[in-house]
Amino acid sequence: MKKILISLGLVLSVSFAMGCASQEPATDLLKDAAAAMANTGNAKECAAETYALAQNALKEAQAAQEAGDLETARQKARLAQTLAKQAKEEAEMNAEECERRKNASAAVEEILNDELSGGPVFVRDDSFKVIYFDFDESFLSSSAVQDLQSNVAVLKAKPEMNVILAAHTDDRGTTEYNLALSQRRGDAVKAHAVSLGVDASRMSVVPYGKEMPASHGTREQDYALNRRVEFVPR
Amino acid sequence: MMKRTWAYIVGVLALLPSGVYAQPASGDKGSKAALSALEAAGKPAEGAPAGEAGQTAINDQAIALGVDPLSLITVTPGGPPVRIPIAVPDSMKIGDNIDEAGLGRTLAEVIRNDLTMSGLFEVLPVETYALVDASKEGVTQSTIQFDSWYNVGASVLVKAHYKVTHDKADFEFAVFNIDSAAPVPIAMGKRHVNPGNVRAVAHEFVNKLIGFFTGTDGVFGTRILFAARGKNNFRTIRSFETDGFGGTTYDLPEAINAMPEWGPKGGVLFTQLMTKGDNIMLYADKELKQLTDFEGWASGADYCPRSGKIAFTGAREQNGNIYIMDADGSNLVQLTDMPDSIQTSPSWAPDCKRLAFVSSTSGKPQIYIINADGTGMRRLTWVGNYNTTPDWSPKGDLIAFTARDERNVFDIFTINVNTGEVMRLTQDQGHNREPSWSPDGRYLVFESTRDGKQPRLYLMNQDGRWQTRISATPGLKTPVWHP
Repeated sequence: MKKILISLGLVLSVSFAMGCASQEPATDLLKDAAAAMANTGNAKECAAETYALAQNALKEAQAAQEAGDLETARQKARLAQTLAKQAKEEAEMNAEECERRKNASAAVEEILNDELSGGPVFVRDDSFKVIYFDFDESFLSSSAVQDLQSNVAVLKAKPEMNVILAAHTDDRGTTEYNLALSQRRGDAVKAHAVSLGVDASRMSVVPYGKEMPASHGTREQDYALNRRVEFVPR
Repeated sequence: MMKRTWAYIVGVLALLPSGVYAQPASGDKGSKAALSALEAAGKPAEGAPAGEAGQTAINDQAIALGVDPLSLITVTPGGPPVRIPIAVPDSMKIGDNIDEAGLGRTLAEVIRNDLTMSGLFEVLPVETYALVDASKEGVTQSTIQFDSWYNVGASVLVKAHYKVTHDKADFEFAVFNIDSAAPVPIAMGKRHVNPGNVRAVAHEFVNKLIGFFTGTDGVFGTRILFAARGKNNFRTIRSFETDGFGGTTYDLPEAINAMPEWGPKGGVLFTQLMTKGDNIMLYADKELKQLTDFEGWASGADYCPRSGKIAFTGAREQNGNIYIMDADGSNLVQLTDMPDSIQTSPSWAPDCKRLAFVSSTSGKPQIYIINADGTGMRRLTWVGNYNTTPDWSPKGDLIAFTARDERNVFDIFTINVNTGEVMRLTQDQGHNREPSWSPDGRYLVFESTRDGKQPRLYLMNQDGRWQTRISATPGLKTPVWHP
């Protein structure tokens, strides 16, 4: 009895849907994808990158359909739909931060944008020089030694000042090994400063690994700016 | 109708978890020949693990030939493994057949996505069987139109029905072998749950289905923990399910919170990078506890559930070394004591009796193994000059790690703990780093820059032949699969 009911009901309701699906399947998928895109909440602002991926996939699906490549159109439409859903989810996760950014003025917005891909910004003291390192190395080059001597002079002129040696690597490498490598750089700076007469208790090394880049690019000059130890008054 | 046999496919898949595709990696003919020559030169005595002398010979020979040994290890060509064609029509609501809450559609979508991600099935696109009137079918064998499903190319058919009564939903599943026109016995009875649990029910069904075909249940719907971009340009810890849905952000203080790990009692361990130093924190039952108090730094906790011990990297006015402590931070023991090199990234063997870790005592970071009592330290990797982030497989035979090749590109490899055999799993697709095994040892989750500068999370099977993106969200790092 139950089985008969199922069969009758399903025949009526689904044969209608099937009729459409068999004629224009790609169109249906495109409609679904477009609907998913329209239902992403504030993903355009709050999950911008993922939203852009979804938008791009939808465009490709539409282009493929116009070119008669229905298989690609279906694939891209499905991808667009999945990405749209992920963007929605991501936007919901980011909602609070996103709201804060939206309410910020345009001038502040620029700073926030910069921050988002970086890390907490220390207040830099311009009287200290940043000590830079070679790729994968923790030894002090001759120019690094010169800069360090200048910093040591500042420390000696301000005997009441204590500093954090914030140590960093570039983005290449893995998270924890980079943390250890940055520690080594901090230790090298501290040891040399001690050898030049600064009391060890005035300096504490804090390793940050690759988590706080000074420059966000992926060119060699960006990496070079990130392999560094900064003197931060504490 | 003509019968196809798919028993052979099932046979192959059943072997998959034990590594039927795990052939020695080899590249094009040129490097293959070079590799053979090198292997002959450096072959260790039969049965013996690859020793230092033998491997050093391989390195020396390679350098003499003017090639970086790592460049000789390339991804095995051969494309993805054989996959079973499967049809999963949208689920039907019993009674009026109106899917008003989209429950049936969600159910089918989650199942289709999981089956695709598994790499074991080729999920036929829904449009390709639009002409099969699935509405005539129930979950019993006599209602299934086997000829029609055969004609659209399906070997397996999944039927999922549901019924909503009051505030609960009843889910019912059936699976059919199209070639033999018989039901497939999946140990999944009716489920009576809140409609909001539809994703969990779908994952459970897929896991059972994978169990039938491979002998080991699947792991879909389990959680993956990772570091993500947080508020005010800090870093935070999040987790989501294997398909990127069901996200959770842990309520942690603003800081650079990094290197998460699953801790005791469902808690989350992580490293907090603060101006006063880096230390290991445990977030459990909505409470935050600092487990270490190192003047230098402590990082990268790895928890071993069977012994309840946490291994981590600690440093006191010197380079990092490996430490072990209890889950509450007590009984601190220093395991390695090498002041002149970096020791970091410990990873427990599944029996908690050994650890893999990274040491730069040879000059460059390499993977080492040590007993939990500090004895028996030995070097495991001999090829390449930057091998980091070891993760010991749950079966105990393999260690996955991140290596840097001669182009300064990062890729994921595995090494067999007993034979020393190295396999490359990723190549020529951005940087690939920080692998973590799935609890069944069938997959690895990892971060990759193949789709943009910011890393995203991907999944691959244990030989790398099947790779797929988990989430399009950028900036996700150091994933850890729930054990």
